Amino acid sequence: MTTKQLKKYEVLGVKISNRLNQYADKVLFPEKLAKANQTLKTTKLPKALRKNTKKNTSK
Amino acid sequence: MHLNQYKLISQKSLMIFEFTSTGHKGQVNKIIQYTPTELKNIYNLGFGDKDMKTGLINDLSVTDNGDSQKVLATVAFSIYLFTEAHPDALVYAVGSTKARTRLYRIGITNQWEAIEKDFNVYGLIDGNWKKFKKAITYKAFLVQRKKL
Repeated sequence: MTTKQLKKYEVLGVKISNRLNQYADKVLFPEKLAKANQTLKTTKLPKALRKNTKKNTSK
Repeated sequence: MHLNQYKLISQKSLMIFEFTSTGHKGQVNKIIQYTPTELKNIYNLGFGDKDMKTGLINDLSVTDNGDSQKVLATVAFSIYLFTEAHPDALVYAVGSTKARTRLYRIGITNQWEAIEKDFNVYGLIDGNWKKFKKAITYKAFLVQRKKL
């Protein structure tokens, strides 16, 4: 992130901090994520959204 | 959207946000996290309270701090920031309870004119995703940033 971007976020009231990196590899809301996955698995997305949302294979 | 909202702290990837709600019950730290789902480019919006003493996070706690509109506006603002940094991302949003999902719907409805300029919003009803319409009860929402 560039200094210019940092300033832009600062103006918007957003402080960029490394402090939250402690959560970066954690799923803080696992139950909600599981429910979301279940819902997404059992419902058909609108046609306009299907193209870019194929099943994630990187996990 | 220019609503009264809290200042946010985030990390460089703009996937985790923190802010402090201030109301008649004091100060409560809130965490927002966008987590990848099993479908590519769809991220779950997680949102809850962080216990200031234990650091534990709870998305079912009832803060009742008298600032729900400001809190909702802050979460909505985080969607703007997240989708600006991740333009291909879709945000899956549902409340932790039916009442909270209803609150999301009311929030979307109240700001609909501003929201529809920047986002495509879909609601889940009877197992189908439909374009968002006011006054319909949805089970969940999918939000996509429009590409200008």
